[in-house]
Amino acid sequence: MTGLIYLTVLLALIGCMLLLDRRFTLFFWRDARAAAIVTVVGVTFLLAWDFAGIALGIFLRGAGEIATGIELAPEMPLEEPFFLVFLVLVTMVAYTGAARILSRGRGDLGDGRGPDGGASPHAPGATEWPA
Amino acid sequence: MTYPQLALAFLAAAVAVGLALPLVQRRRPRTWPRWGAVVITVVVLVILTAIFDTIMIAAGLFHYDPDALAGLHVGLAPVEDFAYPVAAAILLPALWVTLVRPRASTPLDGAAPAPAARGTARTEDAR
Repeated sequence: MTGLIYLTVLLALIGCMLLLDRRFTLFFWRDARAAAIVTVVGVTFLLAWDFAGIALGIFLRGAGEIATGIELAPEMPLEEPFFLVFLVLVTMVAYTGAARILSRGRGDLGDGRGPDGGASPHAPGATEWPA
Repeated sequence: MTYPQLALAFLAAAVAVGLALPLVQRRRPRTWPRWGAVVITVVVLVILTAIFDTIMIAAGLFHYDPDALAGLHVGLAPVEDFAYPVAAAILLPALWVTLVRPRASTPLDGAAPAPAARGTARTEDAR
């Protein structure tokens, strides 16, 4: 059972990010299609980075007891794609959440439902709309 | 190739694509990431990486060829590992603002938002 700890923690963390996403309408709950593309592109990019590091002999899988030990490819643990999904989700929840808070502070949309990472056309902020 | 070279190559690719994405958008005006939010994201992710990368390495989940590392560490995390969250925080918001649907109540036809459009948006958002 200890072999499932890491995977279970990752799935729980992914669930936590999705709860934040749903509660504040940040990412998948803001635009599911765009969020899906960002997630697939992000995970693919980071997996390519991992595989490059593995091919160069830089990254080595450990024998940690909390991991399943299952390999998707040489030195590529089953858990790694889940970790990368979590990394993408935490990145986008932090970014869209920070963008929301910044636009609130500026007072252009007082109810906090407005600009969501830069793509709200009526946001008057100069940062979003350079001439 | 060593880990610093690998990390710099992927980080440079993420920065280049992140900066190029708004330039190839068809929508006008172009949408750029909110840089203040990118900076906050980088700070948050770097702190999380220092803590959790250290825990993951201590748990024996993975390790590195010591000869391939620059040798600088934060906790147990090699400094090169921080390129992952920094690259993600630059590339992914740029992709997001390029793809995300504008909010339904706000037509995308105008260029820079006019004062009248702002008034309309305020009314609609003031529920």
